[in-house]
Amino acid sequence: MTISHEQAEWFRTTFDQLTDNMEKAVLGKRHVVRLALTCLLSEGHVLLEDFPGTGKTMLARALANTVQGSHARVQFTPDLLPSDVTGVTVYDQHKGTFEFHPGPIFHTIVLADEINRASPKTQSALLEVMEEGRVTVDGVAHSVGKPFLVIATQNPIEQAGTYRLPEAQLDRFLMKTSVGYPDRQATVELLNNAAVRDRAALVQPVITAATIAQMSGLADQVYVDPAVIGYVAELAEESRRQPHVKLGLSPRGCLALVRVAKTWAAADGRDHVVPDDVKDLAEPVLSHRLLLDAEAQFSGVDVQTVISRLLDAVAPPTDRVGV
Amino acid sequence: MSSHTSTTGTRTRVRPHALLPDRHSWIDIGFTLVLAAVALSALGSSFTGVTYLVVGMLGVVIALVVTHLTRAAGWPIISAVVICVVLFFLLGGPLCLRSLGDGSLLPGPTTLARVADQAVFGWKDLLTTLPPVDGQGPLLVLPWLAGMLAGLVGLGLAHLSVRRAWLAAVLPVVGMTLALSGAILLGVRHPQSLLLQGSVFAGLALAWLAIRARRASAAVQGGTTSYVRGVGALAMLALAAGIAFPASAVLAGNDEERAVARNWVEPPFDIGRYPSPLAGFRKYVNPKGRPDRANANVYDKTLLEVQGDLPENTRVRFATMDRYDGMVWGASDNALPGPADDSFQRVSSTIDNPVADPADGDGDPTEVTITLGEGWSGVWLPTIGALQSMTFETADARAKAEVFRYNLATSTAVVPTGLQPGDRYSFDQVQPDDVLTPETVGSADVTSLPPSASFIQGPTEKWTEGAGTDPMDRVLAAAEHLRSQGKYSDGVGRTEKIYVGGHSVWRLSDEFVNAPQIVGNDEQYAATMALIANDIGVPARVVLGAVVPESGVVTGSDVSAWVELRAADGTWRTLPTEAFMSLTPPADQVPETNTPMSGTVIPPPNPIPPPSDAGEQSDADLKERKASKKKKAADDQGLIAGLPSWVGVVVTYVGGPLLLIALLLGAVLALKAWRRHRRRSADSVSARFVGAWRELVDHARDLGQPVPLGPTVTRREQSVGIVSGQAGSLARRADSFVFGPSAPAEAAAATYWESVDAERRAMSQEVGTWHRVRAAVSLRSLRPGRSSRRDDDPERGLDEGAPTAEPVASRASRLRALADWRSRRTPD
Repeated sequence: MTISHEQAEWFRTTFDQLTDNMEKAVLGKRHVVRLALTCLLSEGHVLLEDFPGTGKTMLARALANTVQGSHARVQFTPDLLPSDVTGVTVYDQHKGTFEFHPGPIFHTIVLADEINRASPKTQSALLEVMEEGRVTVDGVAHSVGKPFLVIATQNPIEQAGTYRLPEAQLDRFLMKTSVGYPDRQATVELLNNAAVRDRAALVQPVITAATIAQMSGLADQVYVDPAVIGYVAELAEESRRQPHVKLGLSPRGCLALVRVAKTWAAADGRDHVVPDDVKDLAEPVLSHRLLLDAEAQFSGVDVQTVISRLLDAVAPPTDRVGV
Repeated sequence: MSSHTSTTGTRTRVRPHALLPDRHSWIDIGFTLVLAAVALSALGSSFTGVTYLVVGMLGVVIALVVTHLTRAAGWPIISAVVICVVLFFLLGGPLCLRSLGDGSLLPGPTTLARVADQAVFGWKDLLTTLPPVDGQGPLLVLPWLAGMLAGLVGLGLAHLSVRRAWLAAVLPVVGMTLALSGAILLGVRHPQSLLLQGSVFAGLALAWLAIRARRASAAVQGGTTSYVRGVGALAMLALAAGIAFPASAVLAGNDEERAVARNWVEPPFDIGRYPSPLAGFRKYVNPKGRPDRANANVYDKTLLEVQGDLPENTRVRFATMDRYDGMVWGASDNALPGPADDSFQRVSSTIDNPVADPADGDGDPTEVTITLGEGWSGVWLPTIGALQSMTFETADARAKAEVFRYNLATSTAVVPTGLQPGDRYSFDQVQPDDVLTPETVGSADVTSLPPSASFIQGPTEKWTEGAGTDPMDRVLAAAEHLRSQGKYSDGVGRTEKIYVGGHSVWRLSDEFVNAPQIVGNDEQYAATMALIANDIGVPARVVLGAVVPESGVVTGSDVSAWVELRAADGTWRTLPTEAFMSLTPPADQVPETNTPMSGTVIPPPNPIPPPSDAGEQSDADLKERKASKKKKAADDQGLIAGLPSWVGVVVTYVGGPLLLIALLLGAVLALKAWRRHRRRSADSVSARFVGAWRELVDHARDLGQPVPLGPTVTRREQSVGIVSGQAGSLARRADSFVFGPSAPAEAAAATYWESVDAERRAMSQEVGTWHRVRAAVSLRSLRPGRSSRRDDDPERGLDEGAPTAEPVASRASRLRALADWRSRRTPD
């Protein structure tokens, strides 16, 4: 079953409304906002890596506010315990039973601030919940519900006392992107409204969780032509052949790319994916999934360079398959 | 790739090495090289082989390298000139003077002097030598010099800093055009491929002009509007046409008008160009009432009148013929073996004549005055004895004196501009001892019989049997045989018409010495006698002249041909006609052609007809004949008959290139139409959408729009580069049909094509007419596209280790494209 034109158009309109709403808080970062929303509607999680003060937390809070749901912020520190995130089972003396006290992870949108400052043990506590949407404590699984989005942030420059996220953990994030500094116009507007202490508070909920779930379902129905599927597969194979690449794109990465491309296409009002969707999303989807060798750092080759070469190396399809 | 960071933190890139040419320099170097090659090819008809072109192109390359390197090093242009001059002399010997043995890599003073001499005076040698000249000879210095000049001038002017954009564009093209003009001037009157060469040169020059004009315009003004560029282009074309039209009338005119330096440089004298006077002997014979259609017979006309104190039986010499080529006995420029004054040379009013010098006791000079009569014409100047001086007494005496040439060895004089009845001249002469006596000993000089005259060996052997071994005795014996056995006939009588004129191998062999009856007149007898003497080993030559009668008036009937034999003392002794020619007429019967004598090698008859008996011709005669031929050819051209001559020139030299250009443009249009048809009628419906989009992209490319190209560029990315209101929507529609969930319908494809066609028309209407026409014939879309990303960063990948800002730039450009894409997106 394929999404209809009308449904695609409704999807686009709603998506644009969400974007416009979030832009009240995040000025001049429409593309990043759209990426975050795409992640939400693709039932994935996003990792924001940027310098301090660029609006990572603001973006996360704006996203949380725009959805009628709960949200929580967890400031990751080295002494943060897994139970501080997932929750803990305590004994209720009055009732004489063990009772589960859910942690901050049990919210619609969870902001994991500076996730790389927590210990690997705590970071790993997020693995299950990010992948399966549930937490198992003392042998009992607790679902976090839908929609569920983890927005993690990390600072790329302050590396002392941090724990680099393991590849398995990184792979759980659907996208990794950065907010970047605002342009001059946005900066001026920001400064003109310096009296507004919390811009995220300007964002009012405009969509329900049920609608989010409905949009996710529609995105899954977007048609992907075999030619585009082949293009993604070719990108994956080529990523493993690229010089300086130690670990190429995994099948999970390919699935992630197709999944977000579907949502991206629907957000554009289309019932089908085009190669441009794949190219647009290649960098945020692949950047944290490609592992470069040590020589790459000495050669000055970063992952963005590799992705750019990858896109230059694989020709996107221009026609349907089998014609 | 190297990079550095400025104080502002901006990372910039520089070329790997400053001495390497950049893109613009490569273009200028390429055009200079090719245009120089075309210009040098104009010398193709002047040189044998292609060595001249190799040497010339080597000069071009060296000059280009030197000019570029000096400029890259920041040196003034004069340094390039100096270096080129040094290289010219250093390499000139090994490259151009190898035939003279000057091939040493370290040239000595002699070699340098020869190179300089050829560079200064070689052009005249080239122009005064009958082309083609030896392609391995010292004249190679000329293409070597021309190549260096072309490279130096072309690239030097291309690098010249000129404030006016149009001048910067035109200057190097003008320089190369001058190089071509120089090559044409040094060329021949009838080049092999003038049309092709001109067309190629014009095409390349215009292309270079256009490229440089565009570059100069962009550099000076940062790009101008199409209107300004169009006006500029038209102005340049008008300028080029204004120069080319009058120049073509001169440089590429017809044979008469075509301007080559040969027209103004006096060529070397070639006596061989004038027909042998002996071949026209029959104009001196008695016609016996035979109608003289050519009105050339001068039997009873006065040829000349001799005045002077001359002894009896003095012989006046018309011409001496010392070389037999199988066809005729003719005068040559190399009468004697080894170095000698035996060529036709200009002489002053007094002649230091070694043949008979009064200072050596050869007798006192006698003044003789000759007045040419009504029967005389041609270039040969009758003289007597050995000249000591010459004075023309006609109105154009000075002009005649300037061209007058005299061969000391053969005592033969010519006036190349021709002589007319009434011409009068005086000269001092000494009569050398030319009497042949029985005691005269023949010269021991080795004589060589031409291969074609080997037929004479058999008769000679036979006729000199029993004459002993003394060469002179054998010569006289053969002469006696001819005189006693032969008969005389001018071939005039009714029954004597079979005795044709001429003295070719066929006439002398089959129809004379090997015929049942030896029949002929002075022409055949003298020619045969000279061949026999040479065969025996006594150098001999034929002389046409007359014995001066007592009255001093020489008529055609007095003319005879005799033989001169070279004696052992180096003098030439006269073997009079009576000694070898019979005056007995032949019997009144038709002789039968006999088989050649055994042992005689008879070469096949020469297919060339015998020379006309119209007599010798002057330059004026030759020109007149040539002009009449051209007039006849012009009359044959009925299509342009009655039109002005310039119409023919234009049709011939401009119409051809225009037709060629029209064909090329037509081919481009046809190719594009075929491509469009193929795309529109593709088997797959989705392929028709793809083809329609490509048609739009190609149209944008032809219009000069910066459309991203390459296998990794999508339609949406291309639409960003297309200046069109609907390009984004059309790209989106194409993607929708191609990658959509349902297969596209044929009707949708047709509708899409209509939309694309409409958009193409709209795009064309946005530009001017000239731009539209240029786009229609543009070759841009026929060339394979290159990756736009690689175009943006040509050095990408050269040094993977260098940190680059490329990913950030790539991301930024992609985001910009996306933003632009969204801003132009319109609902379907």
